[in-house]
Amino acid sequence: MITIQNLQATINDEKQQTKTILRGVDLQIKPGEVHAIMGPNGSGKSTLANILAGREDYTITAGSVDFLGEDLLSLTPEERAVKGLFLAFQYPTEIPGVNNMYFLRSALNSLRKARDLPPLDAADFLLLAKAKMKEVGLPETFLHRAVNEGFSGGEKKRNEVLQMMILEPRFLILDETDSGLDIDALQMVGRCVNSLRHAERSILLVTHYQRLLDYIKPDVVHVMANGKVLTSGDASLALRLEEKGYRDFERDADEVTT
Amino acid sequence: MTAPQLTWEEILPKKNNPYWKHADFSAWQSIGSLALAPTQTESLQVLVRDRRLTTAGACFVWVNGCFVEALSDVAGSPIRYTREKKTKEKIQFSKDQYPFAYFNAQQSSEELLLSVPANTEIASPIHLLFITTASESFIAHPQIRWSIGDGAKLTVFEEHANAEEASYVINQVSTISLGKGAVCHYHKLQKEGNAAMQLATISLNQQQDSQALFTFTSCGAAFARDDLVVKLAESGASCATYGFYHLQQADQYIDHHIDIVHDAAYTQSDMLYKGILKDQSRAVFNGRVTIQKDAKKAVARQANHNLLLANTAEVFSQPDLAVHAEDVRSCKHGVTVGQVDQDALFYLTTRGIPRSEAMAMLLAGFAEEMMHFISNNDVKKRIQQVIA
Repeated sequence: MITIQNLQATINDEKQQTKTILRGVDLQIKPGEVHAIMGPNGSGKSTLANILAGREDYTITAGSVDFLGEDLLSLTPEERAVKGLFLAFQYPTEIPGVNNMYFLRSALNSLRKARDLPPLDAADFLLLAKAKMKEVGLPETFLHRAVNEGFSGGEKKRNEVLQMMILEPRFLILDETDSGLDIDALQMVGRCVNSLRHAERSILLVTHYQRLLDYIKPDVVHVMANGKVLTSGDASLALRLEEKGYRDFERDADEVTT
Repeated sequence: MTAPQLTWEEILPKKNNPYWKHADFSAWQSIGSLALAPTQTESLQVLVRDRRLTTAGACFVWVNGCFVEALSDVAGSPIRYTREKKTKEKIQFSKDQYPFAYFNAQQSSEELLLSVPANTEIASPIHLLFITTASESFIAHPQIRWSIGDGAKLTVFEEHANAEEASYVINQVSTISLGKGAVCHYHKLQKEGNAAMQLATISLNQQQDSQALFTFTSCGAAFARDDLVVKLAESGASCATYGFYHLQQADQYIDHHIDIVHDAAYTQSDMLYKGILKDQSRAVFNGRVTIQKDAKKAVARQANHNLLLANTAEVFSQPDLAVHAEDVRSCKHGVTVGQVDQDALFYLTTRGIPRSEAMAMLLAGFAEEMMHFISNNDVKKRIQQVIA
């Protein structure tokens, strides 16, 4: 599905100082697999998610990303979406004045158009949206509000999951979708993601905590720190991480490199 | 009454005039004729019928800036109209501050008097339809005087939607007297031809507890200036005015000057103007609110927000609040000038929406705030069609 090789990236901060965020990330996800990236704050995992979605704030200094046989980094965000990539944002943007239903339908119809499918009309879309809203636990009134405007943290996350359920991407990245969620919401995320698990679909979960992985069992867990993947393993790695904390892993990694 | 012929030299405000300091009149010299255009009205019946709102109320039609009774239709509405020949009168507008309104008063020979009887509610919007057919330049000075009785309620839709390429000048003056407790919603849509000049002055006097609500949507004309002059003369009167301007051609100039005077206690005013500018276009917002000494517990808000789509576009924004009363409830003002929210643009594109479409969605979203204030769906649709 996706192969990331030696990906390095920098960002310019407010003082126009160049800061290195990714220092050579290697990652491969096969169709049907669920991977989790865990790591402390500032490890670069959210940056990785945003770079994959096409955010332009970063400069790629080295490395490559192959997505379904294409050079992902040369594509615009909308081209990536058309190819099936989806990022559930950690902090979804509020867009005043843009109606949520109009946005969702435009998004779905843009993807359908790119795939030579006829657009869904308002009535058909409404049926689909209502069904999916029930699954993510958002009242229908949210269709008639502006995108994310005035939504609570939890409601924004539910709106992200709603988009994911409607757009049915081939590769979905959840950037700390679990943070700030109560148990009910967390279970909903787990249910929805599991319902999308499919042999032709891959999932990348970016998270701080093991608790999301109680609901979504990953095939592979990666530990990321200081802009690199330090180690990878099966689901038990997340449990060990929870027990030992990140510091031990970082120290171990330092010892290996020195 | 024959009006004296004037030259642009005599009419146009001088460079040092503070009320016109951002206006550039250099292109005006090329306007040939300062006369009215001939009005052929026979072929316009069909056009007018097509342009009527679906909720057919009274419709008053101007062709090339001249009122055409034959095309107008009161449609059973209780509104009354009379055409009054102008006699020599004292001009109420200062030549310095309102040179065009002054010019209008001097030149126009007739005014249209529209009156709404007291305690009458007119459900369908009253449509003021301005059509241009002339292919040569002309100048016209339409004049409308509204007399709105106590407790009357109405919605007005003033529509200038033309695609003619001629460099004509519409110089309009409307005077509105709003009776006690009357409610007037007034929506103006300005989409003149690309080379047109449009000048409009609305002078409004509000009595006790009357409510006025204006929306100004401006996207046409090479040069457009709207002056709204409001006197909240008696207690409890309120005036809200909202503007949306979208400048899409190079060297386009759109100017809104608003001057609201709170002359009595418990009066309220609200101003919100939003604009989008492209290329080398220039926009002016000048909102002035004066709270007189006796206007205790007054409430006033002024806001102006601009999106610049090119760094060659310019906006001159000046909210101006003069408070002479000691006991006001709330007075606020704010101005922003910025660019399209890049995070929002990114968000939309990550969902597969093409960048150009995402941009259009954000711009429409920016205008959406004003649309909330247009309660008549027929009018709202017409305005949305033009700005989309």
